[in-house]
Amino acid sequence: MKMNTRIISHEFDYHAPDTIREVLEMLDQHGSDAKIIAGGTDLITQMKMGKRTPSHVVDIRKLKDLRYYVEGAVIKIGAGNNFRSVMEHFANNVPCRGLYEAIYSIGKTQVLNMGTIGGNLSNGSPKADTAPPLLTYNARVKLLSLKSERLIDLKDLHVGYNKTVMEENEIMTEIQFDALPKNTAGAFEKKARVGSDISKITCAVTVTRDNDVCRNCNIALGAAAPVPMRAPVAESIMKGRPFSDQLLEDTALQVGREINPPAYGRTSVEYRREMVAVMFKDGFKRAWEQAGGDK
Amino acid sequence: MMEKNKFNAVSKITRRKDGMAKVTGKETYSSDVRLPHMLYARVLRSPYPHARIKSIDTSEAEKMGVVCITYKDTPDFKYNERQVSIPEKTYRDRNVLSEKAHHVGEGFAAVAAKTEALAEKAVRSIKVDYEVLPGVFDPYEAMKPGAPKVYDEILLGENVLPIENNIACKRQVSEGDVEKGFAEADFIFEHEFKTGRVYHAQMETKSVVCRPEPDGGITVWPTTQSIHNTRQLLGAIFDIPLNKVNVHRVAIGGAFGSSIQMNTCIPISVALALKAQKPVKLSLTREEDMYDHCKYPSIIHLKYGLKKDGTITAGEMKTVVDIGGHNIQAYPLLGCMSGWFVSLYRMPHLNFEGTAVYTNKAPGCAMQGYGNPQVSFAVESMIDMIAEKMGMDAIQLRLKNYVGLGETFWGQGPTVRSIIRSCGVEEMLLKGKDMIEWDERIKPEMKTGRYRRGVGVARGFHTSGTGAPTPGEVIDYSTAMVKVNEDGSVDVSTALMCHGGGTLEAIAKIAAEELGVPIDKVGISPSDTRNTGYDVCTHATRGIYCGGASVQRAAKKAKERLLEFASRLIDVNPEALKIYPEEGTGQGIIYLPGTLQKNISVGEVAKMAQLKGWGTAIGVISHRQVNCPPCFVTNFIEVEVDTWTGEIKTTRAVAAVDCGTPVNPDLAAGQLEGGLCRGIGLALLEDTEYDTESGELTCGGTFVDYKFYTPVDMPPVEHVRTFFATTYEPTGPFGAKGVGEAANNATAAAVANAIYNAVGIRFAEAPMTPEVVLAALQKQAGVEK
Ligand SMILES: Cc1cc2nc3c(=O)[nH]c(=O)nc-3n(C[C@H](O)[C@H](O)[C@H](O)COP(=O)(O)OP(=O)(O)OC[C@H]3O[C@@H](n4cnc5c(N)ncnc54)[C@H](O)[C@@H]3O)c2cc1C
Repeated sequence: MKMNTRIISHEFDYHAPDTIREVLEMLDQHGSDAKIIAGGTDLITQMKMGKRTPSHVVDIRKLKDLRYYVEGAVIKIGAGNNFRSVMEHFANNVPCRGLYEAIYSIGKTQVLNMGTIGGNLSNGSPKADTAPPLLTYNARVKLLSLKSERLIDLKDLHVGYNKTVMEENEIMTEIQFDALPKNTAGAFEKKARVGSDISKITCAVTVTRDNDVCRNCNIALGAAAPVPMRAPVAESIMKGRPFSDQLLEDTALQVGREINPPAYGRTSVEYRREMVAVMFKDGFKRAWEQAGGDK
Repeated sequence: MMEKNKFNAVSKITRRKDGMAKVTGKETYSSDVRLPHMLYARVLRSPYPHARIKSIDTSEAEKMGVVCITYKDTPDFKYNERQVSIPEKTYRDRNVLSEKAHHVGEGFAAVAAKTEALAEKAVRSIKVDYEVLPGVFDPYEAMKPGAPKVYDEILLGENVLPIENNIACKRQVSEGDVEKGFAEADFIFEHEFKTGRVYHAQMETKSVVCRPEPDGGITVWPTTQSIHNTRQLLGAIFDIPLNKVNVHRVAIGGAFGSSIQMNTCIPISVALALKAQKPVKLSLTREEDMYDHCKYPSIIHLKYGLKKDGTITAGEMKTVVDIGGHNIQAYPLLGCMSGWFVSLYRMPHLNFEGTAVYTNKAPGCAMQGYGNPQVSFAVESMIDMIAEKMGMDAIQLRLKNYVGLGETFWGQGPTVRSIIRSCGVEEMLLKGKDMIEWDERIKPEMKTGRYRRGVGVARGFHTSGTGAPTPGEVIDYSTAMVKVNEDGSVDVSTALMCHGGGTLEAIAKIAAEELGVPIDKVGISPSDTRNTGYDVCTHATRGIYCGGASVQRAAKKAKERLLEFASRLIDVNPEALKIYPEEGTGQGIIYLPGTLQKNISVGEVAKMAQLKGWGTAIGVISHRQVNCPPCFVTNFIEVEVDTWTGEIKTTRAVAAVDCGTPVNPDLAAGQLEGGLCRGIGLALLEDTEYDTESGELTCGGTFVDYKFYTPVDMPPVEHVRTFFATTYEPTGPFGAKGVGEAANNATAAAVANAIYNAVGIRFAEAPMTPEVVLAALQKQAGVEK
């Protein structure tokens, strides 16, 4: 039992710089010895369990420059916004309903207040609840280092179980996506053991509707593979077709086929496959209703 | 019978005396105790479920300037952390530190250092050469010849007890002739039930601070439900006279039974403190705590014989309990399980056989209900199955056979028998039935659609304490001191513990009621073992019934003295005087009923008695209750099954208790709600699984993956309804019985019965997770997989 979750067993230096630039300098200086801390809701747990032992912890919570929203043709979310703020920001946003519901499902009060959207994505977990809805929006993330700034597709961020393409000296500053078309709505479905819990499996659906025709049906899944994933084949079944119950069933079955869950985790592969089909249908129906147009 | 509204303090809703400290974070728990020069301890624990130490090297740790002890340095003394049984029935299989691990997490060595981080570093530097032994994780495997032996021998009392086939102990109880009873039956029913290895998940992990004293004694601030048992055991292990072992009562952050025993971290900190000659604190991490104890899981085989008219002719229960790596209280557990079985329904002929088996897992110990939720899950599920097969209403079958008023009750096992003198079973079943609209129930076959609701009922009970007319195998008595101060206020001193449920609040009310002073005038004194008489433990749902009874008697003595003083002052025979709490002055007023003159306040009398040198109005008493009356419970639960996902939500619940007079009505209702929450968890969610390769918990020992329900998982507040049966227990303080453990005894079966009513599938194994439920639904629907 080489673990002590009462304390952080190893020593480290704590830094709380005032500017992004200082943060980037520190990351450059300390390389793999440094870790960013935002809300700490993942990092502290990992440090207590001895899974991460950074000798420098760089706190970005003070940085107002990471807490902003921009509305318009491109919607921009500062990576330092905490869950509560993002949830409140999107509370009445019908197209982005999936993101709202995903955050609503997280932790509860303390985690909503502490956890950040940037931390959720940077942590790299396939279970990150904000990833599936953002994937259905074709979101991009902005990564910044002293020497470069790059904008990458969110779908390319996660490259393996708990792995991202982010460099040690990079921070995530922003999440952005193109404003969603009208007659769009979304939903997020989560199966977990208890009300506030890490997921067994999740499914986000974002639907654009043209009367009876499903113009677009973007589907993304969490904890369904080593990385958060889209289900392109299933999406193509729905896309451009008039809605029918049969089509819904066919798509649901395909979502089940498309996932690639690991044999470990919080439920069985079998159960995950069966659940995504149900969750997709539940999510789709709610989104479809909300997306408006004639029934 | 005294009516509720005649009470001045009892049954009133008050602001808890410890409430302000708790909600503002000012309460001192044992992990908050900080002393000058205090060191922090960490324990080297076994990574293997079954291993022996070949050699151990602490030199690296010692170089770090820490104090280090190993199993070689601790007393050669086998102990059982539970001190409630008489010595002849106490199974002793552990040492302060062990040279053999019986489960992952067993302690071999410990260090104390200036910081916890340094202690952690030092403990990790200890080198151990292990002989890893094959482990055994299944009780049936463990009983097979040739299975790995968890123990060769242990001590029973002072005698060596060889352990055969890993059987820790057995118990058999029978009455009448069970074969004859089954022969007389028209129908025989048999089924097997299982419940999981639930973790207590008490909020505060176990913790302790020990200070060595210059006179060779020790002072201890532990997490415990019994300061006196902790003291006695420490005295025995370390050979210190009891007057030099002082154990303080510290607020506890939840218990559920996890600290009934003297926790194993306590003697480790004592050993370190004695060596360091400095105070030492040892606070368990959550993962250590999860490897330290769990609820006893159960496998219960039931058989009942019934006449056509629904009368039970005979019953038999066979149980196998996987107790894990230590025998903490398996022997009394089996006795109690027989008692829980026998006292639910009348059986002229009966047989009980219980076997407790060692395995290489975290040891089982008492947890809310002590085998009772397990037994009630089996029996109350079975009663529903029988009712269904016989075409009887499940409530009628219960009413026909339950053990009630005037009947013999042996809830705490065969050696603890008494007669039931208060019983609200029928009232709760009939009232609850209306509240949940029982008669609207339809059969599962008639339900269609994805979401199906069902309603289930189950009964249960717990004993209030373990008292009986004759001393049995279990010790039960309490000591209290009540004194009237010179301003009319009152101090109550007792070693009784409150686990957060409001026991001491009730104690204050009982003292106030008996003395006739306002509740605000009563204070609960801090206590330690030097300044209080013995109290066995706050366990067995005995706090109010047993502890309260002793306080009531002590208060009565103090009152007698007070009235005697008053009689000298106002010239009235003391027997004629009464006391009532006057709101305006906030004083108890001594008066002669029927007259307006001759009034004098309690404060004035106490002050005059002091000035005149008459003495203090004080009462001290040690009292044993000679009954342990059942506090009955009834749960009605509605569930909604999602037949597409196997998920189950509880949507409505009615929880009723017959606790006699509810001394703290709001807190007792809270107990019912808490009991529901844990009971639903037992039914649907909670269990600790083991990896049989590594012997580790698959949840890793943290709350990331050990889950229990919280308010968000409960039915909406407006759909959780509680009520009290209107009974009065003649042997209890102001008619009171217990609540605590009873609260969750009926719940798991009520959930299982509700699921049956929803979808027509009988789940006999808990937890009924969505995965299990979905598979069963698909099997029922004939889905090929
Ligand atoms: C009780 C509890 C419940 C939880 N429930 C859920 C849940 O339901 N769903 C869910 O998805 N998660 C859940 N989590 C996990 C966690 O809260 C989220 O992943 C959260 O978003 C992490 O954000 P943070 O700001 O706390 O990240 P931190 O812990 O501060 O950081 C996480 C990781 O990301 C890195 N990082 C953080 N911000 C940046 C940045 N701007 N740029 C570069 N790297 C960065 C850190 O270095 C670290 O490696 C739960 C956690 C707890 C403790």
